[in-house]
Amino acid sequence: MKLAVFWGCRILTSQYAYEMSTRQVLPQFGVELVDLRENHCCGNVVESVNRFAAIYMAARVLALANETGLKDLLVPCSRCHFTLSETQRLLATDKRLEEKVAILLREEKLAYSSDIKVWHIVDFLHDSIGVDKIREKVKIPLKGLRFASHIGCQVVRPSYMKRVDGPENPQKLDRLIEVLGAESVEYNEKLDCCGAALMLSHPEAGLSLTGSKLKALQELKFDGLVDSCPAGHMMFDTKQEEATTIIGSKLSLPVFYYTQLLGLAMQIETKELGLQLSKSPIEKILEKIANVNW
Amino acid sequence: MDVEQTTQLLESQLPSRRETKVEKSVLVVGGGITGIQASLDLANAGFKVYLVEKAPSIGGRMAQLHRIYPTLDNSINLLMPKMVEVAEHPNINLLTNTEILEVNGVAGNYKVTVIKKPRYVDENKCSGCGACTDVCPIYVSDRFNEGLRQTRAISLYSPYAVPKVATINSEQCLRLSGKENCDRCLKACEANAINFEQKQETLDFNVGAIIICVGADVFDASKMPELGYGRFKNVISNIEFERVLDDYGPTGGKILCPQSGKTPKTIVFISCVGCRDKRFYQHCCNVGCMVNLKQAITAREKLGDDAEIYICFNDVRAFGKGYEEFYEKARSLGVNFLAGIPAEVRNSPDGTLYVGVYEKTLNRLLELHADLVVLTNGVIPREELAKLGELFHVSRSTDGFLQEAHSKLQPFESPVAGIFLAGTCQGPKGISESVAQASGAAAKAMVLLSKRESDS
Amino acid sequence: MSLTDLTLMTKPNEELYRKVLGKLAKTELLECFQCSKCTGGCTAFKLLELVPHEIMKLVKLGFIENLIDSGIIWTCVSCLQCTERCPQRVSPYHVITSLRNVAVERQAKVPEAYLKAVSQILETGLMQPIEKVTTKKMETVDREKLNLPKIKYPSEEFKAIFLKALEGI
Repeated sequence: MKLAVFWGCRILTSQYAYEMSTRQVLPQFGVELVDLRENHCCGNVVESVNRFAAIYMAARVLALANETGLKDLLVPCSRCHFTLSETQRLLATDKRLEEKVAILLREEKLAYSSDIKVWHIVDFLHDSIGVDKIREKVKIPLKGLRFASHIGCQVVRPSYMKRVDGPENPQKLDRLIEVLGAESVEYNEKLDCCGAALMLSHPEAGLSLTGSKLKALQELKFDGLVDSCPAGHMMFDTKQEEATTIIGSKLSLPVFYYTQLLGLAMQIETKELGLQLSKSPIEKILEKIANVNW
Repeated sequence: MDVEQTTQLLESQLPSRRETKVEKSVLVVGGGITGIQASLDLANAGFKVYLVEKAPSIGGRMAQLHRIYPTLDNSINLLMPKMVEVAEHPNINLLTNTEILEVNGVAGNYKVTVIKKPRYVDENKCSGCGACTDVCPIYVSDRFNEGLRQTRAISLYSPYAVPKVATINSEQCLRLSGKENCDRCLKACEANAINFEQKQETLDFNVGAIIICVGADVFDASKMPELGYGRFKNVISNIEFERVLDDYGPTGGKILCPQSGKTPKTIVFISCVGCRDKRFYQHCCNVGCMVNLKQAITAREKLGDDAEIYICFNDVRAFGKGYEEFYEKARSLGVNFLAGIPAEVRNSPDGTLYVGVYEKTLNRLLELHADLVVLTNGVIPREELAKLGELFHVSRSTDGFLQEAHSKLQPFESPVAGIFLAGTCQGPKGISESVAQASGAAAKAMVLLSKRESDS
Repeated sequence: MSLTDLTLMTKPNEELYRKVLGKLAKTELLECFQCSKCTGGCTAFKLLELVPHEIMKLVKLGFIENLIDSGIIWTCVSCLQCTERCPQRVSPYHVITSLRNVAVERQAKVPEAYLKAVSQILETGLMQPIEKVTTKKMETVDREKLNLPKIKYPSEEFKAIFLKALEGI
């Protein structure tokens, strides 16, 4: 099946591993990713500056998706997913707003359509592909590994609009981890925020949130953290060392994108999955399951 | 034609006034304290009452309570004499395990059809000795004890059942569900009361008025997962805690944590769960604040001064006679009131429940480690009100409770003539208000029934 | 207005109040009954002392000027817990975002990084420039080296229209 895809900013400019691993695993399920004609920001950060401008940007992304003729749009970034979903809801309930946005879109002969279904990696794999099909593709079961799932805040809240999973007890990412043969263990801090949004104003506080969660997971003897958002991964993986400095505790926890873990279980090369770009000690895990080839 | 002839001609063209003979009897739907009170008032005034109750026993919520506020009287001590009076009253036809099938007619003359579901036990022979219960191999959840313990497929509804007759749960019973030819209870019963062939009965009768007192439900807090109800065993609801406090309840009246069986040192009450909440029910449940005070005071009496008792509140609504004094009593017993509602309840590594609440009067975030968390699950409209509405042609207000004719001047009449409302089915309220409404509805019904005829 | 805050010696600001209310999709802010559930579960409270229910009360009473100028409105982490749990559907997150918009409009203290992000979007369409990253083998790589497709930057037209949207046209 063909799936339009919108990457947002972070994946395209720094979190390359997410794009690499997604582009590797999805075709294995017969999915053809169709990029939008243009890449631009979804408006998430602009919301704090000017909400209308942010809504326009999100609407433009959806209009570009509409242009492809496809009705399904994959949005691997959790924050983009929230922004696009909220925009869909606002435009559906406020006709004046929809018209104001439509006027701006029309200047470029673009048209917003309300019937684009916005997917995230987690619900696309869990609900659309399904765990049975994933199980069939697992060549190396990740036996004996205990992971902590971090689905992130902005894809499970607020539940008055349709989100990727439930707000207080999300389980989809856990099922996806388990189908690979690993254990996904419940922990009290499961719903705690990574702090990424604070990097623009209070970076130390943001890293403190990251560090606290990592420290808790280390104390609970987890083998690793599994996320599916470039902002979360940036905090837990890319900035793990900075977080260590902030909270004054040695942090050493492997962090994976779920798509990377899925790729490993399907025996895709570590280099193709962007694992060489990781800044967390993933070698500890990789040695158990794959030929590490940087 | 002269004037007289014209008048006669005209009168003969008019449709004749239909006059219905008024039946001097009343149907009371629901056998809780409200239905019981209304039935007794009517019966004592000389009217015939059909009291129909869905459950195998009358008593309703009040029978589940340990004590009532603000007097702290033992609930069953007050209720049981009335229940016995109802059972023995010559003017009251008590139909338990019975549901309404159809209602036709108009005020003054309703034809009611009910279905008496089979108990598979002969009401006239059973003495309520409990020998059958002891030998039954099938365990089922005990509804009267809110699922905190189990009973058997054949049992009395509760220790206070009226009528004191056992009932068989036909879906769980091995024999009645066709799984096995079990006859253990049959053999154990010395009164020969068990009858697996018992069939349901359909009964018809005519009444002049109907009083609906079917009560209300309690919010299921598993719909609000952040408070841990359903996930953490030590998070329970007010009604479950009430059963724990009852000497004939699942713990014999001892306050014990469901998870560990140990006595809690710290109990935290959380108010307004499911009510005053646009995500679920906007209304205020009316009784939550007082129930918390009552249970906190009882907990203090049972656990002594060492126990820490906290009530997290939004407001303290203590509006009735003696209620403000009751609030003062709670404070004087060292119950701590925290102004703020916690966002969530979390598991703590040491086995306690972590509750974080921002206390508005101190402007500080307080952290509590509770052994037991009691949620004030609000009083909400019964789901069956929709079906009942169809049966009796009564509508519901926006809050989902039954609609009264006028909230101030006709609070216990429905807009339909001859049909009256009383108790929590019309809106959440406590026992004193329910009893007042019951007597009021009975009085209104008596006004209707005191006429020989009614216009239709 | 007849109200004065004696602690800070301020009076409510009617104009700012209408501005903030106008930016909200609905009027639920008025229905906040100060249960403090939002603050009890607020991610930013412990580290940065964000007290969402207090901000709701201050906005309702019109004591907004100090809020606009203070850094406190920039401490929200957008975790959306308050939006999820508020029993009156007030969603402090949305109110705080509106306060941020007003702060930008009045050119009050705004964290530089937000303005930098906006100017970056005006330049390239994305909120941050392309980064080179190092691998485990200490090699520096970029998209091309990783065989990723080129970024399709948006047209100049988009940037012009985005600017129009920012300026409130």
